[in-house]
Amino acid sequence: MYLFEYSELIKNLVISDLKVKYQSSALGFAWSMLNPLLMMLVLYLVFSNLFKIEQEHFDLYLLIGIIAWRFLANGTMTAMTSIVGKPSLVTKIYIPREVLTFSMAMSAFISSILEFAVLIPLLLILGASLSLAILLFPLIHVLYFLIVYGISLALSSLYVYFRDLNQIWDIVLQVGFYAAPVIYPLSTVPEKYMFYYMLSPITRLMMMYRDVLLYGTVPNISDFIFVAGFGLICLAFGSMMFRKLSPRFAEEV
Amino acid sequence: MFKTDNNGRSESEKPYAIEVNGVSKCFRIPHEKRVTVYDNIIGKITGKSYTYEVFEALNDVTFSVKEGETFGIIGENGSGKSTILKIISKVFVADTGSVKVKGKIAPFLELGVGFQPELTAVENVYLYGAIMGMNRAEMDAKLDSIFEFAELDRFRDTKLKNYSSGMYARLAFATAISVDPDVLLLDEVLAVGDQAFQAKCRYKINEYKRNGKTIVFVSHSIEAVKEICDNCLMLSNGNVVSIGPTENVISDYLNAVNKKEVERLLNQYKNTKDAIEKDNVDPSINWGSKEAKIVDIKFFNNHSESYIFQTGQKFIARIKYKTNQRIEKPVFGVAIYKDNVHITGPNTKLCKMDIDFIDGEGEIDFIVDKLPLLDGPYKFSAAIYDDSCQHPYDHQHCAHGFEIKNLSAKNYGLFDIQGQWLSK
Repeated sequence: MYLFEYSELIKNLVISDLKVKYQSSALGFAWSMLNPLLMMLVLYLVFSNLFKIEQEHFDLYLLIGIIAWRFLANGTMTAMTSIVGKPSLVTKIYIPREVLTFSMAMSAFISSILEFAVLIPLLLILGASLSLAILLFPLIHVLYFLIVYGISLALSSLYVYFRDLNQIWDIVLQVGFYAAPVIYPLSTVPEKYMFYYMLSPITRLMMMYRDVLLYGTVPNISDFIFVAGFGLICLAFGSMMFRKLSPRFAEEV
Repeated sequence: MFKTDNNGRSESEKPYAIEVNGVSKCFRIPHEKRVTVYDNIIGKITGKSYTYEVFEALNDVTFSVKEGETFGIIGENGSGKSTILKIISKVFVADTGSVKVKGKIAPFLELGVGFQPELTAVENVYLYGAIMGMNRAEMDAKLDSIFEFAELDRFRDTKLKNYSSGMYARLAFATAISVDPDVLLLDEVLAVGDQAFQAKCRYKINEYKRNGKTIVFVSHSIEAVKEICDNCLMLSNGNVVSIGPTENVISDYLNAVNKKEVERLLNQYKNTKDAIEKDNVDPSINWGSKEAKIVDIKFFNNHSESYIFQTGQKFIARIKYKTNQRIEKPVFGVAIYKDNVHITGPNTKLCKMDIDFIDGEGEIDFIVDKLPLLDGPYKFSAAIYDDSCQHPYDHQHCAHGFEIKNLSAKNYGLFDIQGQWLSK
């Protein structure tokens, strides 16, 4: 299995990517944390004052949603360029190319964990009801990773052939941002659409994060099965596509 | 005509390290650049179908490299040299055919693969090791020797972006050679860096050779190939043109590169022959009573027809003759001229080779094991005389020619007399 054989390379690529990401600006990691915090602040002010949304702990609700969404958005956007962005590792030497995409997805995964880690003291300060349910967080995050990695595999291999895919995907992500309950309460969704709305695994993930981090409740087991199933489908589909497209990578990059 | 292997049998019994079997590879070069979804949709709407030029980079290439052998691949630009190397290293996937490689492979397609300017030298060394599939402990053990070899110990923790290009190349090379592969793929790596650096590279490659590593070496530099390769493959437009011992392949290469020159020589002789046939030839070029006629002259090296030779190579002149009656005790003679200087003129009588008679068609070879002539164009004469050497049956004076082209100057003048120097 390439992930074990090249674990040293993956470690290196992840660390160097994180270093480049966080060292290139003076504020480093703080800067990447400032973004969701400021966004939360703006949205909180807008929504609670202008739209008068009544939701318990709406500030934390927003923050969890934004951080969770950032993993999908940043993860897929950066992992999409993992093949094209490292031409010398594709055209000058052979390594299983999945390693490159995996490393970028992994780097986003770790960034996301760091962001959630900063969230925890805020949860305590702002008075979320934490319980042992928080121990389910790693499991949820890993299932989420399967989805992100699966999508990234498909995107990174397609991006080699279609260089405007990032713009298309950017639009898809913007639609997704509003289609998922990231910045509004689930209760605002009309009842008659609820069934369809809950078909989105991302919606379920958002609510699962809030269950374990904000409300201290254990999510429904069916949610886990649903999300895990979707994750495996993403992974299978992504891998298949990657395998089909990767033989000509070195010619097209 | 075949060169026997000095190392005898043991060499031929060694197992193969690389086997390339019927490999073909096509590249698709689109007429219009269409690498976006937008372009594709527009293409669909306007009805312009997606057209591309198929460029056949390799066509049914087959060869094998034995363990411990140094194998060269030569050819002009675009002949497919680098493509085959990339297929062996799995960067490209062949359209058809198979490639088998035994052991760990280290491609030096470029120096400093994967290096990141934002990271320090040490971090980059670890990164490179990881790319080559080595773990941290293995790299730890090599770290000191890498920086020592690169002479960059003071700059270990300097970010790579602050390195000069020379320092970069030194670090990259030192890191690359620290990997201990079974099979080494080299693509023009020797062409970078200054003299001292190149010498270092060469030294290291020879060390690999001594340690019995398999090396595949792709180069423009015929001289470098000649220096280090046992066997060679010559590609032209993706086809295998010549394969075998380096010396043979190189003379084929020179003949191909100097194709125009060879064509000129052959045409010239053909015109002369035609003129002789029609009997309107310059009497200073051809004379004789024509009871026996020289119908053709061809030159060969040790394995194929050749008109470009190197000093020290085997030289064979094959003279085809035809008689219209039985000729008793004929004498065959040849002569080599350069700039109207008669260099040599051996004949069968002086060489004490008695021929009783000739009748009808036949061939005779004049063989020089190691041609001592130095660079330049040479003229060739051939003649058939009677036993007294006074009566010419047919004499073609300077009718044909060949050329000596060495890769590097061996000596000055006309001859390599194989002298030796001794300092007292």
